[in-house]
Amino acid sequence: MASRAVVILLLLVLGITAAGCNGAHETDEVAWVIAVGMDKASDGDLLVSYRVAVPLVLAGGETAGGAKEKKPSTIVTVKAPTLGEARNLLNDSESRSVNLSHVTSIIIGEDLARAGVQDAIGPLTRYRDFRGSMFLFVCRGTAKDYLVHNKPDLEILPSRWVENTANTSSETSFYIPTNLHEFYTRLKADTGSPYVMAVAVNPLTGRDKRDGNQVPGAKSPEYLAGDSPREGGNPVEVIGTAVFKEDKLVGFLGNEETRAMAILGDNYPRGFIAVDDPLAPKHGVNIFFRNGRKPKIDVDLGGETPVIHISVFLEGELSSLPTGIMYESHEYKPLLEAELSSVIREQITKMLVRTQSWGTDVVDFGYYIRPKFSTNQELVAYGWDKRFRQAEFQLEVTTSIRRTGLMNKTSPIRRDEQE
Amino acid sequence: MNFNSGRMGMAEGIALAFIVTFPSIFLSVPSSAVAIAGNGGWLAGIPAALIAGVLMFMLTYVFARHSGDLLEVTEKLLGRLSAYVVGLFYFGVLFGSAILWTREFAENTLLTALPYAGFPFVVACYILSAGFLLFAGIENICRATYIILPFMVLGLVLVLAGLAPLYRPYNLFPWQGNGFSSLIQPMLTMIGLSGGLSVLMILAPSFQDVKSLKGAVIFGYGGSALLRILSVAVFIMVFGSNVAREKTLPFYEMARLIYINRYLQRFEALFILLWVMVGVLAMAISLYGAIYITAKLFKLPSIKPLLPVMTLIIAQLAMILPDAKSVLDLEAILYPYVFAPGVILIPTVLFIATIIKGGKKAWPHAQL
Amino acid sequence: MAENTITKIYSAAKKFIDYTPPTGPDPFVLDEKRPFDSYQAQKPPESAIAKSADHLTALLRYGERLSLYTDKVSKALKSGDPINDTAAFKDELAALEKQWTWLAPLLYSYQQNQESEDLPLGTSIEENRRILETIYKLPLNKDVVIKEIEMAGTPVVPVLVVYMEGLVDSSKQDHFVLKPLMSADVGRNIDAGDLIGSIKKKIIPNGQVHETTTFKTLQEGVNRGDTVVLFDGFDKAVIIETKGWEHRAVNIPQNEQTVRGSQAAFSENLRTNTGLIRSIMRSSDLITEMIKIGTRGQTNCAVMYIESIANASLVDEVRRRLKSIETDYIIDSGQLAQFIEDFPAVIFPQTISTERPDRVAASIVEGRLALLLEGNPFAQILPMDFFGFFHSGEDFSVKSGIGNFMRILRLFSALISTVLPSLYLSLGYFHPEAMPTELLLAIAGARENVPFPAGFEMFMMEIVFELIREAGIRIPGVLGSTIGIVGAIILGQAAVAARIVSPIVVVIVAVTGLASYTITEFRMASAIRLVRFGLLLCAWTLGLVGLAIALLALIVLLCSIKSFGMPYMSPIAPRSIAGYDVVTRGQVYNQELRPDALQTKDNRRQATVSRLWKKKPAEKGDKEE
Repeated sequence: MASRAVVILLLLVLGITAAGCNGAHETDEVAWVIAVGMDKASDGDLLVSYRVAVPLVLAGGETAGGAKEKKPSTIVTVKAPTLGEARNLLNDSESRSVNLSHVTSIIIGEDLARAGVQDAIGPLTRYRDFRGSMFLFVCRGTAKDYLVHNKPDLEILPSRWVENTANTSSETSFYIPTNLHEFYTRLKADTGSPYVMAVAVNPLTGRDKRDGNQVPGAKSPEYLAGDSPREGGNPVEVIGTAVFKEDKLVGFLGNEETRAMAILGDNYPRGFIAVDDPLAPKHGVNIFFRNGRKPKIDVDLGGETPVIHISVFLEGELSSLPTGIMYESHEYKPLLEAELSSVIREQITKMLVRTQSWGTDVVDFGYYIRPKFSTNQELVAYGWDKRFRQAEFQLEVTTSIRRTGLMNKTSPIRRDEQE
Repeated sequence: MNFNSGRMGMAEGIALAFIVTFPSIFLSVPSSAVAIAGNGGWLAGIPAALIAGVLMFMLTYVFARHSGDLLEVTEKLLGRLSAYVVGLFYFGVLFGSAILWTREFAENTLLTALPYAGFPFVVACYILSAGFLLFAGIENICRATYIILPFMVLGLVLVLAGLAPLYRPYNLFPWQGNGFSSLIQPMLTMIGLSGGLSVLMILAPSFQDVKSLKGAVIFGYGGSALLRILSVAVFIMVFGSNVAREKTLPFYEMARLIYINRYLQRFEALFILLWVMVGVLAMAISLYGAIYITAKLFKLPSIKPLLPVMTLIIAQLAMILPDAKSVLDLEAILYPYVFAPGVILIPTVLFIATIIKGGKKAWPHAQL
Repeated sequence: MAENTITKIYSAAKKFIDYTPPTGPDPFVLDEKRPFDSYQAQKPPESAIAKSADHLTALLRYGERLSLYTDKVSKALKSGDPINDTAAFKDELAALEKQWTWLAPLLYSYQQNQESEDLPLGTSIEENRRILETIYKLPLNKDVVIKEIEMAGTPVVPVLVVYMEGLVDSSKQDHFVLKPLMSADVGRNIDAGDLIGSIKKKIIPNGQVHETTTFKTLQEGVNRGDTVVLFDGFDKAVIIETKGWEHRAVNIPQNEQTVRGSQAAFSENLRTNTGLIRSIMRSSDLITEMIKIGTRGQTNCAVMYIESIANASLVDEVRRRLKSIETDYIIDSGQLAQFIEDFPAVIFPQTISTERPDRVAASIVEGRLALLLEGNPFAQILPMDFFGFFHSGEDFSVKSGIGNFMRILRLFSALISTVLPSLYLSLGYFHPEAMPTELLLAIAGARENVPFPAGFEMFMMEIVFELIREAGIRIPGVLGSTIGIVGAIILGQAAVAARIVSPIVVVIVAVTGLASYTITEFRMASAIRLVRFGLLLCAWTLGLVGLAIALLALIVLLCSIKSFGMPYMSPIAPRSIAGYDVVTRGQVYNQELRPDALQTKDNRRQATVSRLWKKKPAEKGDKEE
């Protein structure tokens, strides 16, 4: 009996060990890709750029001989009809097998996005290496430019930069982090339009390229990605949103419009805004505000066209009051609150008008009509996409300034009477 | 001929009932339910669980009044031929479940955990482990399951809770999904999936008393049904019904999405431990049920020699179907239209027979 | 048909493949079925009765006749009537004496057929000496000393003193044996006709004096260290207790130190050990059974239990197993445990091996048994469940929060020491996406220069760690600290610097090794270390799938073994009332019930309210009841 067991055990061990590695790769046999960028080539193919990490540089400690300023990652661009073929080509140049499971960001170039991403994103949800939590970007320009110019000054690895960026979006909400999962569900869902973070390379010349008219009362203009006036820092910047209709890019939203989107989506924990001082419009008042409560959105389907009632409540904290007018007191506070409410209302309206003109429901008001139907067939038959184009908005923004910062009164600056 | 030398209590019963109905959460059942029923896919589980629970309670009523296991009781109540029919039916349910699970778990392993492994090798690994585990005896397997059970539940709850930032509750509306009539097939599928509970009844003499059986059904099957319904609901909430119906592996997809911060992400590989254990245990218990029925039907003196034989048969049968989709199609026919009717009919018939023929309430004492 | 190669191969293959159900007695299960009545021990089959049985029956018949005769005579004398026919009595007596002379050679031949040690003592001191020399192989065996002395008195009685050199305490011997016997006025104290009785009662001032008539008991006495005195003309010998061999004093525990518990440990002397336990547990119910183990070793094994708590069938079963051990000698209590365990082939220990008497006392009070073997400072406590191996003595000395934290830490470190290397290998090989990117790239970078595959590295470092551990046990004391420095620091550091291993593997191996040392029981820690290698192999080939299957198999194995009839994973599987002391421990005043799995006679060990000072005192003037 015991010999029987021993023989069986030995056969088992033989069977398991002789069956091979089952795909185990040593960590130094693998090329780790941390970003993938897709552009449209002139003949309809894809130009896929891969950022491959170099582990030796990241290991720290002594490097063996020679390379002084070895970069932590290299960029390889190949041209191929699909992502799968591109990976094959990548394998030609890299001596190691390609592993895509650590990809943190996928960047789609603008021209590819405008032409339609249906073919490109095919493998992104079916193939095992890609996952829904990868961050998605649309680059104004080409993805290759973005990858090449992305030189973070505070981190070593650009993938770390991407993750940090996505995690700190809540500081201003000038961009809303999107990942593949959200994009894909919006693509296929019954309502709502996909949107993606917009990224671009800033020429770092300090030029100031504004987008559209400034909303009355707001101090700072609207910028699209790549247009903000800046010198120094990482050449790449993430501002705004790229809005898709079906699978094609239809337009970009700027920073303030994205902030409006965030406020409506209850995604706005804090941020600064500078508004005109109501009683001295030359000076600006800086307010640090956030969503006081979830915005109430109610869609009324009663009439011919849907009427969307939005009620936003903001809470603010004064952070800069140069003129010294007593906005902290009860008589003047409502003025400031009204000013802020009007600025935000204008910005939200601007965003709504713009997206409605494109026929895209980025804020996904269609989500809120779901409980009003009892079966899926009814919901689909209602045809929200068409009806959204004619929808009316009734927007109401109220503000309440709760705190006044470290000062609660301002003494005037002593000015010489002679001047 | 006495195979059961131990006395199983409520804990082992709970573990058995839970594990034999749980694997479907890791397979494609949730997404096929959503494909048919839309947003209401999760609703289909509630009546299914209730019906299956009622059927099991009917069986415990029968067992409280007649001693013996399922086949002996059927023979007593309905005659020899019916006992054979019932035995063969449940043999088909358990054996078929074991084969289907082996195939599906092996496919899922190749999809997710070991993409470069050889397919026959993986099938062999699973079913051989299940077979070897059975040498320890069903009681010990149930005890081991009871020990692992809290960790399994914890793992699943962690996955469901980790997705909280991504919940979109209105995705569950329109609540009727594709209409009430579309809920019928998922409901029947879930009832067919509860056919594994028959192992509880087949091994009824090994349990201490009716309370253990009832507790096993309530807590074991109830808990498993609750978790399954919850997970389908979360699945729909996170993905929306249009994307949810595409997915082959709902649990895996859910686990992949978890992104709590920079460090707590991408750990769906750790849940491999969870579903491999569930799969192997469920396979082992179904296999044991099938072997037990075989031995009882053909009056064999011992079951140990059947183990290697049946294991090999399962391994071969599991590899017959040509591709993964045909397995899913077979499942879509088998569970609602072949297993479910039997699972509904047989307890009802036994229950009615017990009411008609009467019988004193006396629990069978476990033979030792 | 004659046997040839083909039939041999055929029968071998048939024997190999054919299934035969296992033979053997039913396994012993500790359950409620037979709690309090004795286990019906299977009587051993009757051994073959030798030819000398005929002699024996003849002698017995004579004995019967003789006893009938003496009954008759005594009845007649008691009746008080004058005895008339003394002639009949005399005749019968003469007949009996004649029969005895006829039977004497029968007796002699019967005795010759027996082993020397089964012989009774003769009255002649020379004959006894001759037999003793045969038994002890004198003059070859220099340990046994046979000394002739003379006892003063009228008449002078030659006396033989037999003892084992090295086992007797010579001062005791002088005081208890030689001085009293050789003193000048010993003759005064001897009652006429009852030499042995007066020796026992009046002359030898020792508390333990026995008499014996067989060589067997005489041998046992000498082998144990007593002094045996034989008197010429009497067929009885007197055994006087003079044990006093060198042994270690009670020391602090070497292997089970605690911060806050008692610091006494067992030593090699059995009586010292039982004394230590008795000094903690002063119960009259505490029974110490002595069973001799080994045909040549004759080592004493003490079984200690509390009679009113321990399950009687368990005690019977243990006694039965101990008595049926047929071997030359057993030198170690671990060996003894393996002889009587249910599953000696499984590496997990089924008894706790401890050198602390307070731990033994605590277990005995729960209803377990303790086995102590002479010459070994480790007691075996049985039956034991899996979670008991992670308890330590000081869990109860500190408060429950701290004690629970330490226990959970121990269980967690047991898990780590089993699973951590396998987890690292499977994640590195098969599932690298589960590691954070920076960590993975750091590992990959560190491993760029290492020439070995990761699995081989891990195995190598584990083996090196085991080497260090094993060497640390055997290294002479003066070099002990050197190994620590050489092995751990320099080897690890130099290996990393020479790029033979990567630093993370060193860290993992070190953490794993440390984690395995937090387990209180040494044998359990060793078992877990071994299991780790098996899991490593499974993880190397199949990744997390292999790890899951191997863990499952391990848990099923643990659930299927029993420790003396008690399932190993009680009280979790099968479920039984645990008594607040399984993984975490409850408050000390909540430990009301003993573990149910032990099937003790008395379940309750504390009252429901065990802190009576918390109860509100009755007011004066209330009804006093």
